[in-house]
Amino acid sequence: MKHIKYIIILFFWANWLTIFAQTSGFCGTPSNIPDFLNNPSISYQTAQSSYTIRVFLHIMRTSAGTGGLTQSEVNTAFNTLVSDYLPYNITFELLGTDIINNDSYYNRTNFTPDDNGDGKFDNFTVNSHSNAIDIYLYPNNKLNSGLASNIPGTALVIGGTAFGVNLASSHVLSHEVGHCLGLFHTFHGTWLSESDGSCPELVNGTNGATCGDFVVDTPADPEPIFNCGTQSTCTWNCSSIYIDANGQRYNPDTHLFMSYTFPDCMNHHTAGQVSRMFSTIANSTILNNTIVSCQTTTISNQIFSVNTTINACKINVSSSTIINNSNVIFDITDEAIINGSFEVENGSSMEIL
Amino acid sequence: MKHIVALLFILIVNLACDNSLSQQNRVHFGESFTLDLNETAFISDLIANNGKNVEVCFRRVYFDYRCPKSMCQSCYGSTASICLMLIDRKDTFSIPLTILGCMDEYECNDQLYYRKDTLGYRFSLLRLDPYPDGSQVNPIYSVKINIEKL
Repeated sequence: MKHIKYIIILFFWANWLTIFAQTSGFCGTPSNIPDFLNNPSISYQTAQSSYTIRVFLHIMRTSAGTGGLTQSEVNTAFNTLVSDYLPYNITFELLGTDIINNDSYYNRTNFTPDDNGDGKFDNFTVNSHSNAIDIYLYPNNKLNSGLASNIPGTALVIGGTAFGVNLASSHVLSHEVGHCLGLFHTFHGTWLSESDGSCPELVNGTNGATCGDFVVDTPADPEPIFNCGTQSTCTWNCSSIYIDANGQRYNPDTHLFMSYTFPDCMNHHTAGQVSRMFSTIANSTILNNTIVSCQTTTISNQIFSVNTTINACKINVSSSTIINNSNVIFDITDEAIINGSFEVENGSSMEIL
Repeated sequence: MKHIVALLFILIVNLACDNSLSQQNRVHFGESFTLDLNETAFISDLIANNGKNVEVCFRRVYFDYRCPKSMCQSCYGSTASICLMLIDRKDTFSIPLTILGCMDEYECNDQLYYRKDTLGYRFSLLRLDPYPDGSQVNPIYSVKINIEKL
C-alpha cells in the first residue's frame, strides 16, 4: 500500500512537470528617452559649422580569437560611416581599433541603456573610452540588430544580418551613430511601440518640432518602412491604410538613415536632422569629449558631382575630381592642402574660402 | 502488484505524450490560436492522406534578437524567427516565420503582420512570448498563430 502511495505521488509530480508555466508577455514599462534639446534647464550654445568626432572600433571575437568581422569588413564599416556623414560636415577620426577575444562578450545579447549618464551601456563598458564613441562590431551571425546606448550616447553595438545585408558594414551603422548624435527614429511618437510619452507627428508637419522625431523636415512616418515595403524599389506600400488625426495619408521618406527602411535604401539625413545633430554635439558634455579640435579632414578618391560646401578646420584633398558642372567650396578655418592629383573638369569649379 | 503495474503503465503512457494537452487542440482556418514550444494543434479544416487532420507544431525558435522594450527607441533590426512544422503524416513541411521586435502583437491585417504564403495557405505569426527583457535565461516560448486558406 505504501508503494502505491509513492507511485501516485510520482504520477502527479510527473504531470506537473509536463504542464508548462505560462509566462505572460513583456510587462515592463518602456522608458521614454527625453528630447535632449528640450530641457529648460540647459542654456543651449550655438553649434560650430563642422565637427570631427573620435570613434573607437572594437572587433568582437571568441576567446580563441576566432569569428568576428574581417579587417576588410571593418574597413568597409568605417569608410561607409565616413562617406555617409561627409556631406554634412561631420567627419570621424579613428582613435584606434582593438580586438576583444571573449566568449562571454561575443555571445552577449543583453545591453542595458545608459541610465547613469556617462553615454555608455550600463552593463557593457569593456575597453570603453570617455573621449570617443565606442563602436562594438559583432560578426554577421550575431545580434541581427544595431543598438545605441542612448540618445545622445557614446556607445553602440551592431552585428548580424537583415534583409540580406551585413549590418555592421552597412548604412545601419550610420543609423546608430545618428542616435548617438541625438536623432530619433522618424516614426518616433507615431508607431505603436514608440508612442509612450511622446506624440505622433501630423502629416502636415505643424507639430513636427514638438512631436514625432522633433525634426520638422522629416515627413511624418507611421511605421517601419520594411514592415510594409518593397526592398528592390525602396517603396512603402501602406499609404492606403494609414491616416493621421487630420485624415491625411502618410508619405514617409524611404531613404532616411533614421527610418526603419531597408539598409540599402538608406542614403541621407535631412537638413533639420543635421541641424539637430550639430546642436546636440555642441551642447552634450559626453559628445563634447569626443570632438577633435581643428582636425585635418582628409578627402581622397572622392568624385564631386553636385555642388558641395565643406567646412573644416584643416583639409587635405587628393585623388579627387569635380565633374558635372559642379562647384565645390572648401570653407577652411586654418589650412588647405590640395595635392597634385586633383582634377576639375571643364564647366566645374573649386573655391577655397 | 497488479495495481502497481497498472499505475506504472498509466504513468509511462502519460509522460510519453508531450502533446497530451493538444489531443483536443483543434483549430480552424482564420482562427488565431496559441501553441507552446513543441505543442501541436490539429487543423480541423485540413484532412491528410491518411484521413486524419493535418497537424501544425511550434518546433523551435531559431533566434530571438528582439530589442528590450527599454531600448526600442535606439535600436535597428530586432527580430525573432521561429519554425512551424506542418505534418500530414506523410510529409513534413518546415515553415520559418519572423516577427519584428518592439511590438507585443500584430493585428490581423493584410499589411501589419509577418506571414508566409506557402502550400496554398497563409501562415501568420502574430505574437511570440515572452518578450525579452534581458533577464530570462531559458525562456519558455509560446506563439500566437493564424492560418488562412489562400
